[in-house]
Amino acid sequence: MIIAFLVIICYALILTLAPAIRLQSDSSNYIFKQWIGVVVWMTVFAGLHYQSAKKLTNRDPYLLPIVALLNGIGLMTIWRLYPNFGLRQSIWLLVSGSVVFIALYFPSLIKILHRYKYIWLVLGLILTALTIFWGTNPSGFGPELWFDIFGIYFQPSEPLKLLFIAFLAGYFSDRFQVAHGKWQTLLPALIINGIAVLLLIFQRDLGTALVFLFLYFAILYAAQGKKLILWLSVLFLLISAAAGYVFIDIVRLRIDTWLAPFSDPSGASYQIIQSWIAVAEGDLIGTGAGLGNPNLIPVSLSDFIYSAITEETGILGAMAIILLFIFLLFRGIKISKSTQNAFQRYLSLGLIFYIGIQSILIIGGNLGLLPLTGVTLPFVSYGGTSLLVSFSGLYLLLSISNQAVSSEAKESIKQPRISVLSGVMIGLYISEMIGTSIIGFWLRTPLVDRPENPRWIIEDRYSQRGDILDRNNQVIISNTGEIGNYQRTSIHIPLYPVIGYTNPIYGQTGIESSMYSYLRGNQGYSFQTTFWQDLLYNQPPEGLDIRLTLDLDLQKEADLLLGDSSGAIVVMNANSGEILAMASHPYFDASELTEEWENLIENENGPLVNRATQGTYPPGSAIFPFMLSAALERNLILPDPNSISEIVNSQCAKSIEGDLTWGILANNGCVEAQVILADLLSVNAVADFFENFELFSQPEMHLNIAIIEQPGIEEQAAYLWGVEPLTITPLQMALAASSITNNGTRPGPRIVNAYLSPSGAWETIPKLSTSKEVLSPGIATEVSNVLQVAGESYWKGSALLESSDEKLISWWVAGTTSAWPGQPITVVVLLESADQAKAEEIGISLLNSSIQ
Amino acid sequence: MNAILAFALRIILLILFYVFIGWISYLIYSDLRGSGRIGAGKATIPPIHFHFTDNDESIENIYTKSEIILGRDPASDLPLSDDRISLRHCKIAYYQNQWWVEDLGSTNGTYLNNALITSNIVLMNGDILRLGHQEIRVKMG
Repeated sequence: MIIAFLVIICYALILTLAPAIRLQSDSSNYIFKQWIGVVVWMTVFAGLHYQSAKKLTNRDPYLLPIVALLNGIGLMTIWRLYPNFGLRQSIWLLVSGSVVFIALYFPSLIKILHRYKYIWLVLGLILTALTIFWGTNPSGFGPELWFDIFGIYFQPSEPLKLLFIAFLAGYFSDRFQVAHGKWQTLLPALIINGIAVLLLIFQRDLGTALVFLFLYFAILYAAQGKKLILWLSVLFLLISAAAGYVFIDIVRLRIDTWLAPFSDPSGASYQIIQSWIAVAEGDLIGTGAGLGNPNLIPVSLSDFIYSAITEETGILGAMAIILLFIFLLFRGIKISKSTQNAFQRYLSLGLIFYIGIQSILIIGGNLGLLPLTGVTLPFVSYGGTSLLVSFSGLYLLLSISNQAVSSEAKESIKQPRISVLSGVMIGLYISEMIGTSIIGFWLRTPLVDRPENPRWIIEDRYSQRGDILDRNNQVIISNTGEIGNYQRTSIHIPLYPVIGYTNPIYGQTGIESSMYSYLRGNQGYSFQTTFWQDLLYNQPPEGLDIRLTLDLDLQKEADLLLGDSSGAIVVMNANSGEILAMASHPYFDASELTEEWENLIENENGPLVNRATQGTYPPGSAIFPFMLSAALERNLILPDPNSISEIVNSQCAKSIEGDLTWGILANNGCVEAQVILADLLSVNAVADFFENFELFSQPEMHLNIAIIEQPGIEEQAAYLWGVEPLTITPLQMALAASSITNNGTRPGPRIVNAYLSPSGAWETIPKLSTSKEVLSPGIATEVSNVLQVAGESYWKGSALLESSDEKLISWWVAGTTSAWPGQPITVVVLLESADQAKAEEIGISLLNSSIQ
Repeated sequence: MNAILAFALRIILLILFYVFIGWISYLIYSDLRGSGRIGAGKATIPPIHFHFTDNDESIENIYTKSEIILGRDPASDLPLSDDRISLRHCKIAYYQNQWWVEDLGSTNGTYLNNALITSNIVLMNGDILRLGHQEIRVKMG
């Protein structure tokens, strides 16, 4: 008993310290409210201990301490989760304790219970039936199983369980002493049982109905001892489960969820997955009281209190809880074996099975081993009526144990049937212990990393996330606010489509998502740092800063130039693959994401999309330069374009004057010339070249990238004209152009450069894809010379076309020539409008800025 | 500092938790072993003597078994012939190192030192049990 007191005091002490630890501050944040609960709990159990020692000298001495510890852990968990409910539960504890305390003065209560069993049961049934008319639900929705008596909620189906047990015990003990026909004995009890179950099913209190069925069969089996009953009951339960599946929606939902828990993680199976994640978060010793986040589990107070306790005290704490229940079962069986008469035997058996079945059902439900049933965990869960009933059961068990007969007499009553039942129950408890350890240990990482786990949001509020910097260490995204309420702020809002958002409701995208482990501090620190931080605070250390390859000044220029036009820009170092600027307009402001979400998601301009990597567009004549590369690679002898009338009379993206060359035609996006060139080459050759050139290959980088497939060669028109289903992202266009700019080597792209290690040094983050030669250097040089714009140090390509959904698209693609002495640069500008002049203006301006 | 203190408390909490469980298992274990020993060695039960008169004949019976049934049933451990005694009238049992008397729901009740017994009562040396008209004096040791 004293140890139980110490455990609870220890628990309350941790709860006092916990908020200060979360905020990483000192004494000012201690909370002391839960000590009210401690005082009530100690008073109640000290009182009961004293009273039972005085009144029941021969009682079972272990029952009370076991119950005290279970109840204390439960009460502290409720205080920790929701202090208001903790106060209510403390009052209920005081009431329940007083009831037992007073009842201990009247040892003959059991006999009264026995004598008037019909009256009690009918009373219980009537009360339960009345909930059909006057029932309410404290949470305002769901099954209406409660009476609202001046703000106190009372659930009559709870005491009905107790009365039902007493009735069955009385009934069977009276009947089996007088030999009747089999059906004459069973039928009346069966009818009453049927009424009770139907009533509960009607009221949608299905968990209780299930408990009733189990109890009926368990007591019947214990009294009758026919194997047949055991098999019949299994059969009956299966049939009723099947019937429930067909006729009752909630049963179908629960069974479906149980069979396929990952089918609907945000809907039907939300509860069970959150419960698993909580158990997994607990690990071996738990996060510590008050340091975990079990309030994230739905109904953590009553149905899922086992998962809540497991998160904060770990597998070891959960094991201890189950062990306590096993001890309780064991002592209960021992009491029932040494009872004076049949009534007491069946009553004590019924009571201990009631506690056992409920705890097995709900713990199994929490772990997904059994379908979820909304019953309470006796003595632990929140719920006043349930607590009162559990305490009444405790009182009856204590009283029965006090009248136990000699231990030798007990030996003489062999009860193999009870041993079978209790063996099955202990087996179930043990499998639940194994289940807890598997979830908390072996499945820990996959469960904790699941996208449904919302704990990162809380971590971000309490522990700073890393900043995001540009290549010159200018801050782009940083944290504001104070501990407990950190927020992300950007100094350059148009970059949000590229960097992405991190939002408690809508999750994370872009670099915020791909670099999460560094930004959050889970990666980059030494193992010891993360280990101790997790062990002591259950928080990751402060996040690490990330340096991007973006040049903020160039980026600002790009965004300014693009302005209100819809489109995308990629400026890339063609040699290293580093993205110097990447723009996607229209953009959004992540700090207003929650308020604006509906508008953003319904906006047909798609501001949330990063057009540079996720927007797929038909290239049109923007692939002319690559087709020209194919012609040069195959040593195709090109006819003089001035002699072909279709070319001379054709429309180009930008009108041209004077003498025509294939280079000038490619520069200015003359798509008819491209078609003639492709015809000369044959579509097969073009498709082959594109494949080797890796025009459509998937670049890997720390950004969300659209998946594109190269169309089959049967799509002749697509290859000739560069139209759908041939599509390409601006990033892929930039990489292909970089192959020409960079002497035939396609660079592996990168946008994330390095992270700031805890020691203060920048550590490079490796690229996700490597460079590859896709064109021989000689051909690349030749191509860039052919395409070089007269008097400038760059080559270019362009396109103006209409996509199949009648959107106008302008491309402008350019790169420095091989003669350029500085770093090679590629620029891709895409506008969702027919404005080639603006695209060129933007492109040239950015090219000039970036090569300076 | 708080975190280290709380961590220590968390460890202490779990240790205490398991000390509690260990303590209960130890008690249950020793309890089981104890009850097993009583069951095995009947010699540990001290003999109990019943003095009574039947048909003006003074009789003294000595028992060493742990459970003695008194009643009109000839098969009971101490058969008595009074009409006011039920078939299985009462039980004298030895447990928790004491002899106890327990009424088995008899019609006319069992009296210990002229008081009707309602629950199990410890017998002392020299107590007088009355079943119907039959008086039985209890001696121990």
